[in-house]
Amino acid sequence: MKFEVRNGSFAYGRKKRIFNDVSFTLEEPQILSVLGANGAGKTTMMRCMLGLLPWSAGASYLDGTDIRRIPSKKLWKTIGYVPQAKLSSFVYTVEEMVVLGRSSHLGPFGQPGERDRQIVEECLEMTGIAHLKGKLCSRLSGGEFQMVMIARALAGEPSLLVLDEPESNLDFKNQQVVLETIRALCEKRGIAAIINTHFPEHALEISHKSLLLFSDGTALAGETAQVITEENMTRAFDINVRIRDVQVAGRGHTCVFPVLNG
Amino acid sequence: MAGKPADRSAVEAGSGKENRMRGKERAWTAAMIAAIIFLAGLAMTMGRYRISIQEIFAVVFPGLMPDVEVSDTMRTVIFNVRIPRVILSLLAGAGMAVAGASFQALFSNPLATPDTLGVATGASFGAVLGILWGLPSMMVQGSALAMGILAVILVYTLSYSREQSVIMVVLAGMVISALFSALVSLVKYVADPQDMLPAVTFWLMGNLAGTRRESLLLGAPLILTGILVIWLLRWKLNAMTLPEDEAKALGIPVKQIRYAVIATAAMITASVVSMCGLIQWVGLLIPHVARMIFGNDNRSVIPASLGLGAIFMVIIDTVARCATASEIPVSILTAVIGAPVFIILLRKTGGIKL
Repeated sequence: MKFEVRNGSFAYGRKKRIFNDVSFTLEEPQILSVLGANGAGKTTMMRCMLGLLPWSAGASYLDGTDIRRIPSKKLWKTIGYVPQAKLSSFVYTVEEMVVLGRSSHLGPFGQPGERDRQIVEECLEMTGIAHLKGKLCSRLSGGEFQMVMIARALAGEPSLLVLDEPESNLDFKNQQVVLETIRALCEKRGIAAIINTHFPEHALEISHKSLLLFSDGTALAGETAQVITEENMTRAFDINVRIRDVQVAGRGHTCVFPVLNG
Repeated sequence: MAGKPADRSAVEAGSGKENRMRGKERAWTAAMIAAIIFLAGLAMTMGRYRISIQEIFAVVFPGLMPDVEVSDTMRTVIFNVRIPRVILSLLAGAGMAVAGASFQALFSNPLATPDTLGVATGASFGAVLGILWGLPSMMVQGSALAMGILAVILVYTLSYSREQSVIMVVLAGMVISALFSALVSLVKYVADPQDMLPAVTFWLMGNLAGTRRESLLLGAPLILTGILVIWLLRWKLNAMTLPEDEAKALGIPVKQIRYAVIATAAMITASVVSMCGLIQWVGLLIPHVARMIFGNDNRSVIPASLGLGAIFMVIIDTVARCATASEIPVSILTAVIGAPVFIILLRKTGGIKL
């Protein structure tokens, strides 16, 4: 599987340009992080890239085919989308929610059967929430519900997982749990992932590639270490950013932090 | 992944629970079918003209009970009056409940009813206009059906755009509903208060008194087809309650399913209203009762709404025609009987699962 965006541009109406001429390529089992300030268009970028919002110019390609020409069912068998976790007016149990991920594999009048149930079971195991199976999604913690959303995407057996800020609104521990799950999935199942994130440290920690959106509509894509630099981050977030390596218990960590009045 | 022993025990523990769930559903299904058959039989015995259950058997299955004597009057009452009416009450209840449940899922709104898009109001206008013009009953039914369908076509047209959203559909529905509601008022205003107005008002409160075999032959196939389509799409309705992008990203053809469900639910509603007048509450209450018992999964909510709607309506209609010397309008009873039942259930189960 090879996912590509070539010269992607998007504007609301004629005037309000969000981003311009964005290109990148992603292959299994790589992880790409998308970073940018509020309003730089991270979620818009994600929706365009998946065809949920039409590009103003440019296109996304899956194995060289423009995704607009791929039948929707086939497309969503390859791509698993994890939106920002929100409850709908009707609350389902974890199992009912995750089995919805099988939709792209079933016909218009199809119902999930025994095989689908087994796949759901495996996805629940993989994300570590098998014990929550019969619980209502509204009774879960934020971290648990995020895992449900990831499990639902996995149930479609995708080769590319696209996650919109999966670790926002979570505490330190749960952020790590979510990131580790994504990393483990990519390594074990050999799938690729695209992640929108507000945390440059997370990008440095798990992603091979990064895409940095600037507020003037330009973007920078490349190896994470080359994209997330003090200079680029300062420009993207309009605040002085410093990057430092810290040794904790013999392991190196990279800290990215803003410097006020610097 | 699947081969590990630890996993397998978890799967087995899970499937035990699964079996219990299925057992519960099977028991409910059996109970509902039994209740429908029993109540339908009981309803046929009741009414001004008393008929015993043995006599019904003897008429419906000739030769089964050779020692029971049946008269021609009995035969006429059973075949031309009681059976069509009981069938219509079952179909109307099931249809309105299923249409309501599907709209609630489609608009992701627990307050949606079969009339949310103005179909029932449109059909009412068609019917009262027919009554005003003194058309024969089959024409009144046809005019109601046509106006109901016209209402939903208007909603489609008004809300049609490339980036059509569900909010646009609902807003268009409210506008069309308001328009037809005004037209119904206009008919009431111009109707002769001596003889026309009572007929119009009685019709608007819903009643199954006019049921005949011919009217049923026109309406029943539409209701049955509609119920079947929604039944087949019941699992997809779960995905339809999610935000549109999310549903699309699950590979659900959101627009097509939305059109299909709106068209079928409108067909059911227009047919029911064209035969029985405005039947309120059933489409709102019954799906919620189903959710209180089975949770929000539409794989259970749709079948349960079907069964409970049919049971509720056959009881209501039997009370409507037997409780007093003259017929009581159905919508009065659905509210008077429905509201306390609903409140008791709400108290007992703690409401729908949120």
